[in-house]
Amino acid sequence: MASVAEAAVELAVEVEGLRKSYGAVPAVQGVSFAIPRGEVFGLLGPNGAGKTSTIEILEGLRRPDAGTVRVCGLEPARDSAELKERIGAQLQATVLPDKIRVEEALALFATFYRRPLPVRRLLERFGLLEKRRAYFDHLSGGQRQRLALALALVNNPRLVLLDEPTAGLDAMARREIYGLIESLRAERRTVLLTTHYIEEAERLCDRVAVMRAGRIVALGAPRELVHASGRETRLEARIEPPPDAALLAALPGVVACSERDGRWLLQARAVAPAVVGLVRLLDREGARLEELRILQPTLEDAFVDLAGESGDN
Amino acid sequence: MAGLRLALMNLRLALRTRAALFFSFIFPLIFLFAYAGIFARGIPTVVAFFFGPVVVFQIISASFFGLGMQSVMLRERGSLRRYRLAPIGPGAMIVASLLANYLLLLPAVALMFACGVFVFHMPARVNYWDLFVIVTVGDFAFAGFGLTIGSLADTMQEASVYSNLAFFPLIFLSGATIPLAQLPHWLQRAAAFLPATYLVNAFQGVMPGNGSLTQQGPELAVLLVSGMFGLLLAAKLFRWEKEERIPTRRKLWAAVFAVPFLLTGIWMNANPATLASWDQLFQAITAAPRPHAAAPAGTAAPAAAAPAPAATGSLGSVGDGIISDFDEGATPVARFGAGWQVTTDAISGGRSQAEMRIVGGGAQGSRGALEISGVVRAGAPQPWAGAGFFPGFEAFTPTDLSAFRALSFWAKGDGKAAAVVLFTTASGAKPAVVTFRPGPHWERFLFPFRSFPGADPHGVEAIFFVAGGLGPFQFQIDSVRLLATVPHAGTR
Repeated sequence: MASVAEAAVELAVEVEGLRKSYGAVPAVQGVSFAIPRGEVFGLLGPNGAGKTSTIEILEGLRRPDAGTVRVCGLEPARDSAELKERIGAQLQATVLPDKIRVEEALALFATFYRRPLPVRRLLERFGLLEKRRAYFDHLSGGQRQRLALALALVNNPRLVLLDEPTAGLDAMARREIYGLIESLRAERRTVLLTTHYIEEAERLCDRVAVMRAGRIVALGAPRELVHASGRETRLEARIEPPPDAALLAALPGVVACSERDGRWLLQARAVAPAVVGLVRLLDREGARLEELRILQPTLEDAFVDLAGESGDN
Repeated sequence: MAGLRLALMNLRLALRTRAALFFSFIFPLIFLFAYAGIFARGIPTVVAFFFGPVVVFQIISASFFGLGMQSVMLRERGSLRRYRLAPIGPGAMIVASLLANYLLLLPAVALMFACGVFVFHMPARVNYWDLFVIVTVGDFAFAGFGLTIGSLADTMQEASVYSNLAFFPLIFLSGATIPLAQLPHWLQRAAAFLPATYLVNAFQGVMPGNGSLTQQGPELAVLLVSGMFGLLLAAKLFRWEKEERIPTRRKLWAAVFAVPFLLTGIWMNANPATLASWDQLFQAITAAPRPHAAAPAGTAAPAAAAPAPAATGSLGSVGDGIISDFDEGATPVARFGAGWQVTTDAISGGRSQAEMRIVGGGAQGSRGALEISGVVRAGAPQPWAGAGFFPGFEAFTPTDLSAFRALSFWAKGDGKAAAVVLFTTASGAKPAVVTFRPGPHWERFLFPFRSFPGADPHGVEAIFFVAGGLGPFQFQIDSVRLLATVPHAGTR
């Protein structure tokens, strides 16, 4: 059985009772979570949920009002210099001088660290080789974000903190960034990312903490969160001629039934009995099943339930 | 190392920015041309007088509107945040900005100097090391000032207000635009509290004045101390984030920056000689020599009957003691001091006449020599005629030549007696005289200072080469220099 100390070493991030306010406005209200090494962990929430404040406290950019934080076994507020050597971070908005070239930015930041990665390797990995002589102000949004990621990796960190890495990017650029983050997972790096894109969290994260108004309202693997949300699977069917609604509602596993524009929507706790029962019913009644769609509940459904649709604090 | 790399990157970025290039190189040249053309009227020595102020103007504007405001702009843009994530501290960030600013300034000053010399024929015989030290210390001081302003200001708007509030008094009341001597007395007293005044004085002390760096020591020390205060304050008040605010109590620390200037201002106001020296230098450069103003009271100093053109006085430093070789130009040029002038007894009512001109066939096969000729007529209580060299920045300004032991020169002439007359503050109204007899062939003459009765090389006002008696005279001199050692006993 692992000792407490060994268990601590296995944790890349530990946060306990974290609080942060800006004047009278509370941003983070008692947040606790831990990230084991090698995990991709997401902080998911609407704007103003406290995600950026949390990640910036972990990066050492902000001081917490209360709570304990350990990153790579270090306290960000106290061991700032050593922590910066060990982590890589990408800000929500990375602003570099307009006239700095891509390769110059990487070479410059490489000089700040004890053991930097070769600049060319970073250029190749992040698809910036062709743009290495381009000025920062000539880069597209996606290229800037790839450069920001490359800068976060310049010191070859085991823990990477990414604050909304795909915010404001088009679908194509987002998919490029997804690929790069998946490659970090493949290298067994620990990644903490914040996002308000559910698709991103669901695709990239091993576990997700859903934040709302400075608090974590749910934490777990995306599938677990969906399951825990209690949302039913939906069966959407087009039937000719239209059956008796009471018969559909009485099918095994079905809890509710409604009709709209000729489409029947059945909410089912158990999908298989409901489908079998539906086929049998239609056969018995002499009706035809024109179309059937089975809609699984998504993280978005869970998120809407947990975080609330308004997205405010 | 990281700070140096960042400094070099900052420099490279500045060189890629048109606005930075304009304000670093073109803007100061515009000012140099304006000062040289308008204030100095193209007169080379007066251009040299205004060279320091132009450099001071550039140092202050680069420190305030370049360095100081840029630090606020970077913070407002959010550029500093990315650096904050890396293991680099405020100290390295500040040193990098300061170094980049300095590295941008040096070629700009060199360009201004080259323009001054080649376009306006500004006397270039300044000790470059002195100039380098003054530029360095001055930039360090004002960079500290600019960075402190940047640290105090929360926004660009605030930084602009603070910078302008500090900039205009510094520029207009320090001699950087209007010479201090032209300011009302009460404003001169106020100027003594401004660091820009010390920097202008330090520049003008070595160029066009021929003072040494040691003489500018107090001013440079104050600037150095204030620069260090500025940097410490900038580091203490440094902010990475635009949202960060400094409590007013901490902002009051900035008052520490003013302490060296306050003390220096009080000291300067308590020493009227300091303020008076501003007037002397200005008069020496911009007006005809006024021996009565510079000569110590009670000295019957002869007047310069025909002041040589301003260009003849190089006003450089004493350096290796070489005064003149007369090998260049149509008029006698001296390596330092106010140059050569014809001198006669006309000031005391005499009728003697003299002239001097450059002639070919100098001593030891050199290209040229100075021919001094004329006639000495009876009439004045003490008749004389000849040519004189003034080692100070103005005729009869005492200059310390105690580092030298002897005067050496070559001479040839009509065989009549001639004399070297040494005016020093110690000899008072009665200058020390030694005679020599230039014959038909070039001959070297060497006079140890101790051979001049009653003279003290600590305060040499003038060295005259005059006829030894009444009647017409003509002789040539060449290779006039001061020697740090006396190679032989005797006078020849």
